[in-house]
Amino acid sequence: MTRVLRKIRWCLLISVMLAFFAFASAEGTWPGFALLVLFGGLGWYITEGRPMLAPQRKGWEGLPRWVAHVVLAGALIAAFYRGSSGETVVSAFIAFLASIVVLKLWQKRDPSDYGQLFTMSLFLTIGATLNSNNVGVGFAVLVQTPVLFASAMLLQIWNAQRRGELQNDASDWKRLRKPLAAVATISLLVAVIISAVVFVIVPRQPAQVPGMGSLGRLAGGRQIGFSNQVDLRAGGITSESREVVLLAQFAADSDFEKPIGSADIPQYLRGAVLDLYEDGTWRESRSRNRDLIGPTAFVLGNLDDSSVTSSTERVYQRIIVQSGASREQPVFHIYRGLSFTSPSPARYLTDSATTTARIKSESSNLTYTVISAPRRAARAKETRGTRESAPELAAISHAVLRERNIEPDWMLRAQEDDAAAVVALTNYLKTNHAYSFDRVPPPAARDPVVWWIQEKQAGTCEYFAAALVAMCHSVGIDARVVAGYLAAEFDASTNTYIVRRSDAHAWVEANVGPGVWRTYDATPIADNIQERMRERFTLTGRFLGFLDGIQASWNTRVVAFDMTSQQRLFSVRGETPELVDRVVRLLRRAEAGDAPVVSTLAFTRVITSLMGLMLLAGGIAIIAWGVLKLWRKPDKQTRAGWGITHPQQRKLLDEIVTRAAASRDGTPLREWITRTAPANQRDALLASADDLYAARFSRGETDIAQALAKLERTSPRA
Amino acid sequence: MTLPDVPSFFRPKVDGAPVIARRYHFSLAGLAYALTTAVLVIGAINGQNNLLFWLFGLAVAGLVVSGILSGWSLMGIRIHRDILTPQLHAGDTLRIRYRITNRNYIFPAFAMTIEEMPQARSWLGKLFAATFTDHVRTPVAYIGYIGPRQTVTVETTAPTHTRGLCTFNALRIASTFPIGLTRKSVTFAQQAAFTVWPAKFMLAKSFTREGLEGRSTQRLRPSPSGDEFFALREFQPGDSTRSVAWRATARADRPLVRSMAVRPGRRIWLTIDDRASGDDLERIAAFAGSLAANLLQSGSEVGLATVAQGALLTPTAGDRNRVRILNALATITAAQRDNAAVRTHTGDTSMFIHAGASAPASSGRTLPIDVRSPQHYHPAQLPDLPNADGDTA
Repeated sequence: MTRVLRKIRWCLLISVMLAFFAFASAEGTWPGFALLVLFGGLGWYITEGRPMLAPQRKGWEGLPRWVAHVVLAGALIAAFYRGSSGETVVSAFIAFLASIVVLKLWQKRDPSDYGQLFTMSLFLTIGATLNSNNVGVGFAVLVQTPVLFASAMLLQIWNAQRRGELQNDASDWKRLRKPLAAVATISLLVAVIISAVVFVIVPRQPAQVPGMGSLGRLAGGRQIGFSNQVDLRAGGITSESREVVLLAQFAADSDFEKPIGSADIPQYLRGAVLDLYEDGTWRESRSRNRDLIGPTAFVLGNLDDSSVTSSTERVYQRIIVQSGASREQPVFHIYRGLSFTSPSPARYLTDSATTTARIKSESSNLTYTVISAPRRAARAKETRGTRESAPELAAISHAVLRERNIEPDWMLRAQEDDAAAVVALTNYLKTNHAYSFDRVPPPAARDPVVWWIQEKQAGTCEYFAAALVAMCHSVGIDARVVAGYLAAEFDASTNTYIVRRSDAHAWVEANVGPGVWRTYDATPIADNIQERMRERFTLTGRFLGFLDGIQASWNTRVVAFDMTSQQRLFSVRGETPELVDRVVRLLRRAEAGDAPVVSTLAFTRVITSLMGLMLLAGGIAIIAWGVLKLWRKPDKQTRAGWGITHPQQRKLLDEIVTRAAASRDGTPLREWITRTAPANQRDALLASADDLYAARFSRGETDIAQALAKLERTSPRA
Repeated sequence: MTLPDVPSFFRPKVDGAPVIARRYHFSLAGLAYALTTAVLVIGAINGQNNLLFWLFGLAVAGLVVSGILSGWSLMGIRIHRDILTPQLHAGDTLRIRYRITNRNYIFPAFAMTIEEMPQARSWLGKLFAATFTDHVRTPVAYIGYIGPRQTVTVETTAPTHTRGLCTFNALRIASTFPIGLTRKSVTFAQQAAFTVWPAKFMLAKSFTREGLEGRSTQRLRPSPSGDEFFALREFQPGDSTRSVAWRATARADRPLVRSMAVRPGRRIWLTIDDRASGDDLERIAAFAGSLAANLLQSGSEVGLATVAQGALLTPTAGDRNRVRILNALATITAAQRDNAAVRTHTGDTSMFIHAGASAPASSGRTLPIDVRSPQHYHPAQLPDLPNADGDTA
């Protein structure tokens, strides 16, 4: 067995195991993974591994043909059964493929079958990718790529060896292993760079749209984080990131001497009110926004106006933004925001109807203060009334209210009972539905809320909020989805709530009285949020947080990369490209002071600097290459023996050098002999040099043995 | 040959055989790869699955890397072929040495095979044909690695199987490195020819050197290179002083020199029945070659004739004649007609080597030898001997 073949066999085992891992990761069948590894590994060991590890033992002849046929038929039947019982086609196919790979590992293989097995393992991974793009599958692809790359190279070498009937490749392998490793590494690096470029530039759609139909399960990447829209039709992998996004302090006075808050009191930080529902998506209605520029913005008139609210009801909040300060973002606050103040001038988009605002700061650091009031404003318009809702939803809502003796018809129900009705609907959702990160896109023909309430019955806070709003609407209560953060991690030493990206939440505000919008949260985990916070800091919690961090990073950078990310990267909208922006910000940080964000001048300067650097690097590289070339040439001649590599010719050269008894240098051989050789040896050595060159350039016509004998005759060793 | 001793950079580049074609051969694996890449991009665009986009990127990268490596690595390859065994019998192993130079400054070359081509076409459509496939198994050599600016020498062997004039013309160096999507090949033209002599047989003892040795009864023939004394004669200008018979000169009082002579061996004509064909003719040629070698070793003068062509080589002794006879036997082809009687010299012995045919009319003594008769062979040769029906005995 050649060494190359031995390497191929190990690569085969690794590749197959990684394909099994990808399969299990996509399907979530870890017991299945264990079985595949056990049976596949055992099959490989008894057919390949044992004779390889212990050459005195013979490998097993493999499964009898009839057994293989029976197993194949069983795998086919199982695949058809899976396909017809609701599994996606891809799921059924890759399960079948995994069975075949195990079967092939149990069969005695002809060496030509290796390529087939490598291909099958690759297709198993591709199939897993069609079903899921979670971090497990990504890891498998990431590791399997170099393994397959190396295997393909080794296979080509082995095929050539076989064609050339090479039996023992020990010396061949010794010669080629280092250059092969170098070429494989460089090729792989180039391949990764090319794939990254292709990944970035291939046009994407605006959002990840399920397009696999019944073929496979699309899994777009989603990360728990604040978003000003809730897309109920999007499926995907949900992950959490522990990145701190905000620090929030609450106080009853403007000097923050009377802090509010504790570890037992979670705070609902409103960011966006989503009151527009279209085609399965809740989003903000921007029509009421006012555009203001200045240090302070008021949404409900001047705070001195007593009709707005009394000073004793005000809550002062200081929000310190930790991540993405330079981007436009919502002003997070509790209750109803009355005024927003930033130390440096900022641009505000305020909405008095929802008492929310967005801020775009000119600074890279952003801290702002919000004054909120918990109660309603004096003036409020009537918003009760039946909204358009699905009949199935109305039936469920009515049944829930009747069960609790609450009149479902809003015209017959007293407005005071609206709050009780919302609580009843909230409790219904909490008790009959489960919290889950598993997001499966609903069937295209069905209303996502109805589908979720009736069938899926498990999901993230967005589904709970959307379902509660829809149920409220079906019984004549106005409600809206609110997106923000549920701050529950409290640092008592600084009286600060630490808000992480994973604390993003969606809840509901329902209009339960004239102008009274009250907060309701139908998500089950909100009730025991303190317990979850405590779990977060246990050893298990930290480890899971670490894994979540990896998943979140994967989701953000790979899975969730879409057209918006591309536009940000390449500045399609005419803004400064993010790449350039990042470089500029890095340069700015090096400078003292806080300069404005990116100006055209700065951009030009950066580009000019980059081009200058590239030119400089290119120039240095060319000069270095030239110097190296000039310097290496004689050195190469000296070390390699004036370019003589043929073993016989080297022998003659060594004899000449020995007789000349001088140290070599870069001068041509004849000149070197003339200059350094002893006078009594010179002519003989020059004649031998001629013989050597004749042999070197006349393709072996000169017999080196004769030349050596002649040298021995004419110039015997001292 | 002496070359001017100048730095290697300025030395004239000594190229190998000229390149007549470079080709990419798309394999089934390459087609499957391209198809998979297409499926990946369709799946990625359809599903907006970023991992599929990534896989698509990797697939494209594989194509690019494969194209660059396979294309450029063979770009600077030059090759030169040396036949190391120009004289060999059918059944012997042919040895060929290839010297391959990679003139590329950057790219190494991996996993190459060198193959002799029965025929190849150049870019301009010129056909380069060779006959080696009739006589020898196609030689294939393997080279694992050649670094940039390196020269590697490899040898390969191939068993010969049939006598005849064997020609090489085009040879191809090919590689599927790095990932086997395409097979890149470069074809070179370099002519070479040699003769594969008929196979060597171990003959029965009566046909071996010992069996055939015996003093010839023929008269001495004067020859300066002879080793037997013939006569004394007068010294003539130009005669070597070494040949002077000094005692005889002293006695005769005039310069005399020794005249030498050779005693010719037996003169034997080997008459080949070239009316036979196929395996019979091969066996006849092989038998005749082996017998001629044995006869020549025993000191006989051997001539060659065929039934159809008559006398080909007059009887001569020596190793050169062995080569001449073997070369002639290597190229004998089956004749279509039964020629007239073979002319032999009076007193010569003629051996008629046939495969069951009747001997032609002859004026001398003729010894018919049926090559299918086991008694003519050494016992070790018998397993390969065909019987009268042509089957292996």
